[in-house]
Amino acid sequence: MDREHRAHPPEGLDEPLWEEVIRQHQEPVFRLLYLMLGDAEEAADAAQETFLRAFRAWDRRDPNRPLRPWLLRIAANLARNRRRAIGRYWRALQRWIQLQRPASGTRDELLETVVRQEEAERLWQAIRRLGLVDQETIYLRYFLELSEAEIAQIQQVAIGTVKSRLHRALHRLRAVVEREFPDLIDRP
Amino acid sequence: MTPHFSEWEDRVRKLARRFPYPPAPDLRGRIPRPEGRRPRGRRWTWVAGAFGAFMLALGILLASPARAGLLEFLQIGAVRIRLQPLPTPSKPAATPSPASEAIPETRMPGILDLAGETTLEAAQARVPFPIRLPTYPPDLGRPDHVYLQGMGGPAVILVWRDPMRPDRIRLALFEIGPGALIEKITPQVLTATTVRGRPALWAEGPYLLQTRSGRWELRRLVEGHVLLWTEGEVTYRLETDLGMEEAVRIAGSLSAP
Repeated sequence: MDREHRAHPPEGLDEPLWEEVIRQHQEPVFRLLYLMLGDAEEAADAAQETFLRAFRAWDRRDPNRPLRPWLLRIAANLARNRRRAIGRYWRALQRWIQLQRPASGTRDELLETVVRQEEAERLWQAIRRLGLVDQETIYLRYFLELSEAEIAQIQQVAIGTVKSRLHRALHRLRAVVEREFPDLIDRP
Repeated sequence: MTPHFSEWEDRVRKLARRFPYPPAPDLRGRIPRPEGRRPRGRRWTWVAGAFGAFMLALGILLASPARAGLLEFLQIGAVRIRLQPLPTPSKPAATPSPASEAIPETRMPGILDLAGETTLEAAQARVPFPIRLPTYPPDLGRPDHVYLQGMGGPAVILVWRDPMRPDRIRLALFEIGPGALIEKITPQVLTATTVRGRPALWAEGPYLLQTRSGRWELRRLVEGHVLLWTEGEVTYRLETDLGMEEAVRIAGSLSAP
């Protein structure tokens, strides 16, 4: 176990560079994990593990490719492995909903913020009804706003496959929303 | 792509941009640095940030002779570890709790003396969590004995005998459901480790194991070592005379629930 967590310094990775890697990428990594796991604490835990794995695998990455898809691929793999416990998502979602409150602003602004957040939150609930591949593809494209080429790197598939996955995932999402969250379609 | 589809895609994109994420934690202080200190011995291998405060407290307790008086016990899942000896050890009592009629309880002078022996399939039908088996070591196979126990909540104990010495226990794995409580008293050595990135405790015996359910309690001497960790609502307790690294490897090999 110790062997897994020792800080062997990878080639060409000094402390300032490593700190910068974490600083630049921790937010998208955390956000993807939060969307996939549905719990902030667990997402933080998994984000930490993502960077630990990245640290250990640093020498094996392709230095000619951008870092973000590589890190997000590690994060997505971790999230898939952690998402086995049924019910964890719903408990986390309930806790999260209770905790979400707008921080400041006028009453109207606050109300609008609440409405918008609730819509986004219901969309998230609808996405969670889909299969894991559909979910991940939607999160990467529309929540993290990655390009199809970046998603292809993360999922290790051709760009054409990403396009097909997006198309199918959006169709399935539409069906869920029409059935369970119809107001999400009607609002401008 | 049809206009209808394109509108829907725009709608999803717009809603997704409004998604209220919780603030991302700053991980820079939590990840090892290239020049960072390596873990010392078997201690401080934590990676689970959600348990950071618990870890810090545990580290202080494990490192300091002043632990006595700071806390009376630590708890991981269903297992409570007393940091101080009980003031007046009482004799083991063997009166079953009336609340435990559904699942038999027993004194535990030795694991193989347990009541409630059953089959893996029958045990699975009685407990509300999936029974998981280690896939390491590869020659381990299915357990030689399966016991269904009430410890204030459902628990299954899986026992593998040593094939070379059948009178000897090779491995015992307790899978303890919600509501159960085991008390373990003052181990000789208590070490922090992780199982699949989750906090775990390694206790080296011999020590006295006390199991309590209502008025009923029992004790037995555990001569091996124990690895404790939780996954979801289930607490796992692996009893073995192997070393910590091997125990962690076995723990990490549990089949998917």
